[in-house]
Amino acid sequence: MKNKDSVRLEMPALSVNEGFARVFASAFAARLDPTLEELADIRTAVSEAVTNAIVHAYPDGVGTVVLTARVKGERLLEYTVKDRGRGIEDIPQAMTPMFTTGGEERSGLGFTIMESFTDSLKVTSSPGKGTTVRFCKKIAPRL
Amino acid sequence: MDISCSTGFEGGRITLMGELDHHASLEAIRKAGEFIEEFKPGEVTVDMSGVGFMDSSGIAFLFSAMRRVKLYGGRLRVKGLNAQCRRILTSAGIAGLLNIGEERYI
Repeated sequence: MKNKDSVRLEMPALSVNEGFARVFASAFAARLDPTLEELADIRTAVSEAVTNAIVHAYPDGVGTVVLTARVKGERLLEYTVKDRGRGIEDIPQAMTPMFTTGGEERSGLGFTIMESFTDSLKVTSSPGKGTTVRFCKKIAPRL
Repeated sequence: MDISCSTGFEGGRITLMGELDHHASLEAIRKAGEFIEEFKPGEVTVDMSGVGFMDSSGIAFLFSAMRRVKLYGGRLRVKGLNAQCRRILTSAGIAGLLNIGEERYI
């Protein structure tokens, strides 16, 4: 890994792992002493990104989801959720509020919430090769 | 997540305890759906005071329950949202749509 201050979690794309991914992400964030609200924002964004990968990436089986966390700046955390699944053909459409291909169990608001709860969000994808969701969260200095 | 459903004089009550993510919502949608369709209570209260975390899967759960209740003209009430759950609904821009308050019927 290029950045020494980073951690990586590789997990099967199973919904039972969503909670563990949140715990992993918040445990890493603790080193910057975030507020409870900042921690909740990180947990929420990670939950959305990991769930998207679990629900959409591997329709014909169980692939792998990789969650990486790193300290990017003095008070900036970066999280990356990556899969090697079927990818997204139309990213703007996928990010449109209420758009979903997931049926009743999905609201189509995952990306909307991710954008609201983070300071920056970038989605890259190649059909047939996978999707990467990267977001940053600033942690305010504690007085 | 623990989900319990009951009926009484005040109508139906669905009580959730735990974290309402995609994994938990699959079971919650199924159980709540079966309960609503079997008893068709005129008023259904979803008690979320025991929910410490939810993501957009929680919205899907609430929409699913609301749709089922409205099919027969009933009302859904959401109670006990903590700050994080409330912020999910606000950030998604649907707090007004769902008319979420301290205790509101939707």
